[in-house]
Amino acid sequence: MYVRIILGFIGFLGVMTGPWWVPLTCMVLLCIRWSAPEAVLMGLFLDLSWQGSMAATSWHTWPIFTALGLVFLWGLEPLRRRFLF
Amino acid sequence: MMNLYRRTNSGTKRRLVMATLLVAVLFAIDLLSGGKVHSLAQNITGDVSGTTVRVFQALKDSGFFRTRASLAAQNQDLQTTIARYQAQADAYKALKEENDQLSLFAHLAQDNSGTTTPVVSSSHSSPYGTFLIGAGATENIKHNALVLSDDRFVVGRVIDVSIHTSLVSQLLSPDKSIDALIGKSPATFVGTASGNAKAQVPRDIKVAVGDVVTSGSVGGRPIGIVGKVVSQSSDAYSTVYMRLPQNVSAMRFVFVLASTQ
Repeated sequence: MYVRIILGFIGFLGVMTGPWWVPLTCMVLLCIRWSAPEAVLMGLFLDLSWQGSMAATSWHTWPIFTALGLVFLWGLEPLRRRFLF
Repeated sequence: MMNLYRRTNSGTKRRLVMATLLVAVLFAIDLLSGGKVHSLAQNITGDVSGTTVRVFQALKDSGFFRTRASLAAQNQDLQTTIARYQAQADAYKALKEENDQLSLFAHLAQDNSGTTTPVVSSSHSSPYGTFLIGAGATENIKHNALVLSDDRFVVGRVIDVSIHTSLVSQLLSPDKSIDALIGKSPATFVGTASGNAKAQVPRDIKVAVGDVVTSGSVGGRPIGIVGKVVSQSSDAYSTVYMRLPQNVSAMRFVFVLASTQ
């Protein structure tokens, strides 16, 4: 549980102050071990913080990290179920 | 045992569905409220990031990150210098540096109407080629306004304005293209990951290192200088690399024009 909290903290702090790969790494690690909704929220927070609210004209305006969070959360679920339950 | 498995499984699934729905709801609220959620997130990030940048700058100015060798040399100096005077000198140096940077913007402010504002985030934080500045709607920052460096080069455009922060999209972020002129020759530059840009131009067009690149899409203002020209005899085109005279990630202040051109 402590590891999850620490990873979440590092991830959210990384969104605001670190390079973008820090939250991405935390999202992956969280989703490998837990069904962690905070990983999706982390991706959402990153997209909301660093993306403009313009119409989706290029990949710069797609919420890529939110989508990645959802992919990790749902996509890694069979793996978690196979090894952790 | 099987019941417990099913219960856990359905509980997990419910959590995943709830998280997905929450994301959809937040996006819907953001869309319906005209970017209020965006604005809130950017304000929080701007505050935290701005504080972190200031703390790191202060640490850097105090010499905390100097190399071992320079620290040893500094140690030697410190033995012969009174600590209080040294601290005062460091503080003076930091202030002078900031003052020098701000005075560079003074001439810009004379010629153009706009606002000099600090950069409150690192450009490395954003995967989308954006950075935050410490001025927003309260400071009269307009959406789509041009953002200039102290040497009058356009570095980006304001794409989101919050109360006290604004989001700037870099002109030369990866995969973005911009129509430009090298002297009088037209070229389309595409941003690269390193914050520079490159373009293919016919080999017979004369391009030299140091040529200023301008763009009509930013009112004919300069957007960079030619850093390198690569041409091969077997190729009909030369590759021209453009860069900004100074590194965007090292900028502490930028000038935001009041107009969008």
